[in-house]
Amino acid sequence: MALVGPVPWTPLARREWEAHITVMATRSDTITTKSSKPGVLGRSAATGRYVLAPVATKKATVSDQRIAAAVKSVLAKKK
Amino acid sequence: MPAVQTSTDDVFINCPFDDAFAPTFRALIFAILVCGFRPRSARELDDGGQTRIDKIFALIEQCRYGIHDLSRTELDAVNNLPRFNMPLELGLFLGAKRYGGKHQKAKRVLILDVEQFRYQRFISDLAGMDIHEHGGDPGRALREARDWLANVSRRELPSADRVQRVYEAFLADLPDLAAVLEFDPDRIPYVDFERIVGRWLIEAPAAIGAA
Repeated sequence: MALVGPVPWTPLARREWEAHITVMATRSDTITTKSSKPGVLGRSAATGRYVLAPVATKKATVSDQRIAAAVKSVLAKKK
Repeated sequence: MPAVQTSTDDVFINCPFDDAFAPTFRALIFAILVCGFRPRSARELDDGGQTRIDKIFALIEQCRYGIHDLSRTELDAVNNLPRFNMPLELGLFLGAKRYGGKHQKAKRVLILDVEQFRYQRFISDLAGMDIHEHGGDPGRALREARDWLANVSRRELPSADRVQRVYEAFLADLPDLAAVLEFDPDRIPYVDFERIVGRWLIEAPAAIGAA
C-alpha cells in the first residue's frame, strides 16, 4: 500500500488556503471586534478636559469649518 | 461568540426625543462632552441599511456607559398610547450587562426619572436599583450625569458647579450661534448640536469656567 504523504502545495491548494484565511479573518464571528477609538477635538480651557470628536455616522447639515467660524465670531463679540 | 469591547469613552443616551424633553436631552449631551466623554444616541443613526433595532444593538454593544431616562410615561398626545422605546432600550442595556462577555459586564447604568420612586408604579422590576431624580429640570439632569460619570469612571472631572457655569454660558451663546448658522435655536439637528458644543468648548476662554 502506498504511503499517503502531505497534500502537495500546488497553486490551486495555495489559492484555496488563502481564500479560507481571508474568509475567516473577515467574518464577524471569528474576530474580536474593537470599537473605534474616539478622536480628540482639542482641550477645553474652560474645563481643562479634552473634548472628543462626535461619531461620524450621520452627515451633519453644516460643515465643521462653518461651525468653527460661527463659534469664533460669537465668542469674539463677547470679549 | 467573540468578546466585544466597549468604548470607555462612549455614553449611550436613551431618552425621549420630543420637544418638551429637548432641553434635558441637550443638557445630557453637554454634560457628557464637557466631562470628556462621547455621547451616543439613536439620533446619530442614518435611516438606510440595517434595521433600526440592529443599529441600537450595535450602539448599546459599543458603549460602556448608559444614561436612561424614564420620564416619558404619559400617553402620546397623537396616538394616546405610551412610548415603550426607553424601557425596551434600558432592558437591552441591562441584558447586555447581565449576559454579555467580560467587557459587557463592565457596563454602568444611570437611570433618571422625574421622581426617585415613581418607577415603582410602572416598572417595579427595577426595585433595588438606584434611580436618580431630576424633577424635569435640565440643570439637575446635567449635574446628575456629571456626578455619576465622575463616580463610575473614577476620572477627575470638572466640578458640578463649573459644569453648570460653563453650560449656562453656552446657553447664553446658543441663540447667536443658531442665528449665524441659520438654525431655529430650538430645532438644531442632533449631529450639528454636538459639533457646535464640541467646537464651542474648544474655543471658549478659561474665564467662562471660573467662579
